Amino acid sequence: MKKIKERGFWKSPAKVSVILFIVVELITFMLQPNVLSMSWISLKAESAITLMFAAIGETFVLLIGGIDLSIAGIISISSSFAAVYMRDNIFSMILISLLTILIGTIIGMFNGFVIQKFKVQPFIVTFATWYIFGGIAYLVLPKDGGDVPQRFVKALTYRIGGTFSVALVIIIVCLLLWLWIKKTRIGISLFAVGNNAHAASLNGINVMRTTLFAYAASGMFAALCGLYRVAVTATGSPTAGESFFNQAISAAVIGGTLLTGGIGGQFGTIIGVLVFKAITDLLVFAGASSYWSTLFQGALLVIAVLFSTVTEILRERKGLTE
Amino acid sequence: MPDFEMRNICKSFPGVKALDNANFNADRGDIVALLGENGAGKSTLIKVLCGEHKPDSGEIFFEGKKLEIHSTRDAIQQKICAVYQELSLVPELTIAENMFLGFYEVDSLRRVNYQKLEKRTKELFKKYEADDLDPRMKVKELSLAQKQVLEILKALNRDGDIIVFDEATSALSDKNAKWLMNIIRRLAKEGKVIIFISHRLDEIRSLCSRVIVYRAGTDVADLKIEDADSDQLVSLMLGREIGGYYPQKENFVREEEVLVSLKNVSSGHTLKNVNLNLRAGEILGVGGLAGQGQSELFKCLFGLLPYNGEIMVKNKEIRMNHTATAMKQGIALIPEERGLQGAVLKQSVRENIVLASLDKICNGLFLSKAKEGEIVGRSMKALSIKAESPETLVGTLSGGNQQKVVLAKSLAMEPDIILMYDITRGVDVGTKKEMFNMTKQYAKEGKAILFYSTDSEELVNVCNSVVVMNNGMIAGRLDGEMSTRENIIRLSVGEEAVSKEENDEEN
Repeated sequence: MKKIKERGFWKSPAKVSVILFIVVELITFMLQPNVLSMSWISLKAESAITLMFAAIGETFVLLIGGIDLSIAGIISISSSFAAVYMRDNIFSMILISLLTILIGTIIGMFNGFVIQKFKVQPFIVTFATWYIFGGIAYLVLPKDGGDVPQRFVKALTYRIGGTFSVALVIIIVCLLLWLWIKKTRIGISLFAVGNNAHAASLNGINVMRTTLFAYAASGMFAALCGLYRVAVTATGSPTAGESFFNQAISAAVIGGTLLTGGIGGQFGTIIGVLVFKAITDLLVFAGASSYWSTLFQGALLVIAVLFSTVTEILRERKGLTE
Repeated sequence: MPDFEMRNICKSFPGVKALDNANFNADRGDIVALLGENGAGKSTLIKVLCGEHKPDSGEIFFEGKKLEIHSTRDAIQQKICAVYQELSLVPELTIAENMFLGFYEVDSLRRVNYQKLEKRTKELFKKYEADDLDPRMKVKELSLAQKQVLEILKALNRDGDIIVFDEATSALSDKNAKWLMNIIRRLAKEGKVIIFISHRLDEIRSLCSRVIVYRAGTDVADLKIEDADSDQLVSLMLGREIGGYYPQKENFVREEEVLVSLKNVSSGHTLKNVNLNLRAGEILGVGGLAGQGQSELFKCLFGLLPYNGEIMVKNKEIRMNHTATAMKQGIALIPEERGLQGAVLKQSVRENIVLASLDKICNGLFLSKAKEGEIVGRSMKALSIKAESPETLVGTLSGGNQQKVVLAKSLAMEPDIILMYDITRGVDVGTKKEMFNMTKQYAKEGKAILFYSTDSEELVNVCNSVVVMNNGMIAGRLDGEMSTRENIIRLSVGEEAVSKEENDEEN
């Protein structure tokens, strides 16, 4: 009996974020009793989706024990690129979207390749690519603007059946995709490499391929983030990525992913993003200024990290004295 | 031509020629021992075979066919597997996930089939008569001995034709070591090529048919086991004659001077009412089967584990709730698993040695380079640490030398009480000998030493007395004549110890 409990929810790294999420939502519903509806959920999904893309990508890299700062640059360049080059016809919209995603993926693969091949610290490599592509974003689009086709905006903010937002569908798809990936070879390799790269390589796991996968995924999701941001805000921005990088890492960490790698996952990250957004909403509802929300987000991060390390320490102690 | 042959393997690292025209050969059904000092090139040879290192030159043949090994995956796919001394398990993954790591069967959606994985893990446990563990448990929750068993099973699961056992018995209890030896014999009968690396000559003698000795990166002898006597093997490994393996036993115990005294110390279910006195100049052995509370005893003494009861140091009750408390009382711990617990691999030899005694070498706010240099120089010389310079990274040293650095670190603190936890694990004879001499030297200086080892022969030959632990309790204390390997085993399995005369009568 005890074993079942140990294995289930309480052992999941996502438990802190789930508890936080429930608490924050309960407070929200107490303050606004009639707010819960399908269209409200759809709206929340829409406001969370860009950060969610960024955080999901970052989580892949954190899982293998790396870090990707370049998502800030990738989000900026994809936002600028899409806003400048996309024309108001189906063909152009699809082509530019695919190209944007391709650019993000290639930058990510470049990061992964340099990091693994030349054993350079991920912080330095992705710091450099952040600046390179953040700089190129300014060349593509010197200031906020661009000409975003209305139909592109409409497509990504469409409500299926009048209430169900496209963003919500995408979030559900991402979740299902993760549940699948987690059980594939590459999924397990991510954890193995993050946890003990040497052991993984002794067992014939291709560390290079795993690293490439993680950084490519990070780049691809960052590009998706930039693309979606264009639709949600109906404008491109060469600085779009700046605010995402620290929020993405915070959301992942609140969701239970460790910066040291090997522990965590996208389920926690998605919940982490929702907690992040819900707290901001709560503060806005309470009439606090936006400075407060930054402070609260920071405090939240500390609490989440403390909670997960303390429970880990307690668990270890218990294990030793049993 | 032998079935398996490694021919003229060369491999250089910056500054070191690790392998210099090294050869190795074996036939199917052979169990061949690979013997050599640490740094003789055994590990490098195995790493070349397993695809971890690419050799500069040389060829590997199996059944007349040249093997091309470019990666660890290549090696495993060509049926070469290894049980690694440092363990190649991923702690956060489950037992089942580890067993098949890198080689999962997937369904049509490319998902790993967990049910099958867990079923086959259970079958594996059954097939090799190992303790039945829940395949869904995470490896980090297991003890070192259990992990070692898993490491072995994982290699067996790969169904290799060439199987390397690199110090595989070093962390096993006697029972598990026997279990492994039976498996190895079974594998040999099935026609596998077995390469067996161990520092325990008795093991090699009972298991292997041939022994190949390595020294300074090349093979220096290839002997049938019947033709090789122990002294000869040892001198082949060292390239020189050495005297007795163990130093002459002497008694430096100061009866009246009790340095550490434990009264009814308990911790959870692993340590029950332990009473123990450790005197100045005493080398007190701790024996018993693996996992009977020895590690917990050491952890309690070093403030790593909460406990009930009393620990007295120099007649004063001390609550050991932190390692700093223990160190302040002059207690030093020399741990097992040096990579994890003792040495900072990414720092230099110098930094490691002074790590625990920084306050001793500081002048006010600043580090005194002179004092530091003195301590480092003295330690490196006293323990003959083989490193190019004090600035060499510890991670690049051989296993034995890493262990020496850990020793040097503990001893730089000038402790009164030294806890040695299986310090000779995976260490070659030359280093072992130095360690034993040093232990004796410290006893002579009046330090108290608690000495745990999985090797009962060591306990008998190094320690003044031995306490044997069983199921978290002290099953008995063996002094003087009573301290024999037979008695240690008797106490471990819950029998009474017998004196020599009684033993003779029984026979």
